[in-house]
Amino acid sequence: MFRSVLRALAEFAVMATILAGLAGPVSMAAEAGHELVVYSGRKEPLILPVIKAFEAETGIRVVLKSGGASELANAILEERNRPRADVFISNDAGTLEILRLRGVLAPNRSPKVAAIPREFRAADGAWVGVSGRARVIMYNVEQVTPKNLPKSILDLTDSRWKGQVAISSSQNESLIAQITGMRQTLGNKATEAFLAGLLRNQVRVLKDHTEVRKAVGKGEFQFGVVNHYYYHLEKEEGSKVGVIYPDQGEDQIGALVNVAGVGIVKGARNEEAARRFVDYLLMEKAQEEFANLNYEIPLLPSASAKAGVKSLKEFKRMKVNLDVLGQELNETLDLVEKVGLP
Amino acid sequence: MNKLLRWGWAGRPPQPSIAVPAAAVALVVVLPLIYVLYRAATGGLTTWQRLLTTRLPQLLLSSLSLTVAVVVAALVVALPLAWLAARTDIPGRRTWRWLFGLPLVFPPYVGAFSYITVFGPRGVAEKLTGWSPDVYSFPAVALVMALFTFPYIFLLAAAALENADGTLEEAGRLLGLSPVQVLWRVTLPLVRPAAAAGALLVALYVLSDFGAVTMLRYSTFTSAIYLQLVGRYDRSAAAVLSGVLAVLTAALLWGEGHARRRIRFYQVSGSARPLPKVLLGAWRWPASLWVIAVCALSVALPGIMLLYWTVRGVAEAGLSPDLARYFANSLFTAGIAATLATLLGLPVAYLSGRHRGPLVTAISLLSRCGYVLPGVVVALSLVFFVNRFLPVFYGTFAVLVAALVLRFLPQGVQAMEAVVAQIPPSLEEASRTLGRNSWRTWRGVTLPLAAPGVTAGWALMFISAMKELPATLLLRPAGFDTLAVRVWIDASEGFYNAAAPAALLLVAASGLALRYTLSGSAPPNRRKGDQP
Repeated sequence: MFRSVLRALAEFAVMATILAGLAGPVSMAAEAGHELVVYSGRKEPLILPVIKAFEAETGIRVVLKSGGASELANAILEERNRPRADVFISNDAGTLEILRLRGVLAPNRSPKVAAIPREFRAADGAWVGVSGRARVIMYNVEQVTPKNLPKSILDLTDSRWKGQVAISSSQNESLIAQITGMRQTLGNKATEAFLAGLLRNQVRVLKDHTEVRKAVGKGEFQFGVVNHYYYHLEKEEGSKVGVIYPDQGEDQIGALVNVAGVGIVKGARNEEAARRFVDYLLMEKAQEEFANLNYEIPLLPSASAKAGVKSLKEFKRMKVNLDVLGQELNETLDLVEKVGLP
Repeated sequence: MNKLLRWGWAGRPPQPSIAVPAAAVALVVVLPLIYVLYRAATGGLTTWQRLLTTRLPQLLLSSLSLTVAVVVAALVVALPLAWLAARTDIPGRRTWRWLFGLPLVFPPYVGAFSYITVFGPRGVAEKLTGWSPDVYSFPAVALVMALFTFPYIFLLAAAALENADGTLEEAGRLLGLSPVQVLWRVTLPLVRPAAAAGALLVALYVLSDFGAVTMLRYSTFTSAIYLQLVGRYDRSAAAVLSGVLAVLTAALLWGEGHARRRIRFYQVSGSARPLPKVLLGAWRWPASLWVIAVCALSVALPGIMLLYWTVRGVAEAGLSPDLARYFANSLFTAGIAATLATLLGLPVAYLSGRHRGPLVTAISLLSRCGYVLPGVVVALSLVFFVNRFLPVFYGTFAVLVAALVLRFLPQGVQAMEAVVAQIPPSLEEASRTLGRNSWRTWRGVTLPLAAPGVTAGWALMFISAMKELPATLLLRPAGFDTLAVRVWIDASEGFYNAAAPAALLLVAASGLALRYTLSGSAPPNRRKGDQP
């Protein structure tokens, strides 16, 4: 009995060793050295050119790991006792603030960070916005007459638009950010009434904003609530779409501007290089390139937006500091669940 | 102690050379579950309270109803096909035999997107005929999911049918049963274990799927797990919900195992004669029509759409030379993962296909109930364990392979177990009586007889590993991109044409693997020299 157990174990060990031997050389080759490790939730084609430019300029080699921003954020939380990432790039200020609140981002007092308006960065600079994305309503020009356009986000609950509005699923951080912004400016009651009104109005919830923009472009829905660059992307593909920056009136709340931003991971192995990388992204040249890749809005006041894209000065924006997106995240999600938004 | 063991093995202890590796594998595979328990435990009361007040019961119900509908539809599609391809003289049976594995090789998002493009609002069908079905309705979602997943049943059922002992049917006929009665009372019960094993894979796939169902605008329980994790960064809540899924899986597995144990029969391959083919006669035309219709919907449609997008993608942007590297990475990763998982899964499959008792049930359940855990959860469990206890390996290829093995080993076990259960123990006993030791018996008798199940299991795991995305994204070494990763990078921004060449390569490679493994594994009772 005992001998056969031993033999079984031995056989098992031999098999495992052979396979580990196969995998070993590959893993050695892939092991990162002292390069700057960037976890990025931003789409790879929209970050790679800037990283290449940074590498060329500084000689620092960057190892980029792209993925879903929230998944990577969860990985950073799970890695906290032995940090692996030096820098985290996210498409949502809320995600960054959550990481700051959980204590995995390092404060950053760089003057470059301070040059970005306060509403777009953490109080201690632990994260800072790099490019802005406004929440807008896009519409199908062939289906809606310009005279009848909604002016406020609240108009979308009007029965005239019943079944004609598409939004992304509430798993999308940009939509959640917008709802948080509305809670801050309109109050909880009005926001809840708005969401309930959307549902009553048979709003259609699609997988993500790309689906929304394509559905509006095809004319499946008249309106879609998206980030402004989705309008530009759909237009670029030849669809007949228009855009509304909502709530621009005197006593209205304005459009929320969320940011794609960057933070340095606490305990980063290459903290010095990480700081240089963040400073680099906040330079005028990088600001413009970063924003231009995706029709986004540069946040540095001296940098200019791509032609055709509204700059920060050209529309009224919601008066909220974006750190509230992280601080109020759970309350917003509670509200979303309470209302039953899918 | 001995008494306890005897109870655990139900009085008939397995060879230690099987039991020990099987137990070891079960202990490794259970790591993600341990992580889930740990994270759920750190959640505290408030997490539970919050979860109980939300839409969870409703989501659980919609998950379960979809699962039932898809399983039923997949059985209806797959069983007739399996019988036709394995037992009749339908024209082109050899081709159908591997062709109907193909729907599995399409990544679910590619498949879902094809159907939406063709049958969705403002889609191809509507433009041509002015009419389109509602692809987002419950029956449509269930049908689409069934068309992706029926090969799980088809492959296992067809293998079992080819392996089946023709003399049994002959005996049935001699006893005066009509052909239909033979089908119903002899053939169907013979194929039941394999069909149940396949149906279970379908059920578990539907429970765990996230990508395709979300594209079809259907919310399931798994989407709730994602919401906790990626919406709230609440790993505890996600863990609690994952635990619910795991318990559900365990219940399904237990139910299937229980049902299977009540009917158990072995095929004495040595005495089996070549299978008599059922001659279809005039029935071959309606039968062919059915086969062609299923093929058109499940293989041709997504295939043609993918080709179309690829042509447009190449016309727009040309072919990236990097594709070759992604292709090699995919093949290498999936190949190693599937092979490793086959080796690790064999002892477990053998144990649970052959022995019984509480210990066997425990090992069998533990090695499989993590199957429905969302890929992100499995990946985070590895981040947790490896970064903490084996930091040297973190971020290496080895962790990626480990994740794929953890995720898909249950598929292999499921496929192999169904075949092992059919091998008569008397053959192994004879071999041992003739003086072969247990290892040689296993190699000389069991493994050759189980070969169709083993290759089918390998192919299933290889295909799944090729398509896998969430764990690959999180665990791959930086810069190590696979085809699935590239498809995601392009498609998530809506550049479907740009994503198509990589997707087509992925599908082609998986399809070839499927074809090779299926045609390379002739049923053992047609081979000479394998008999003891």
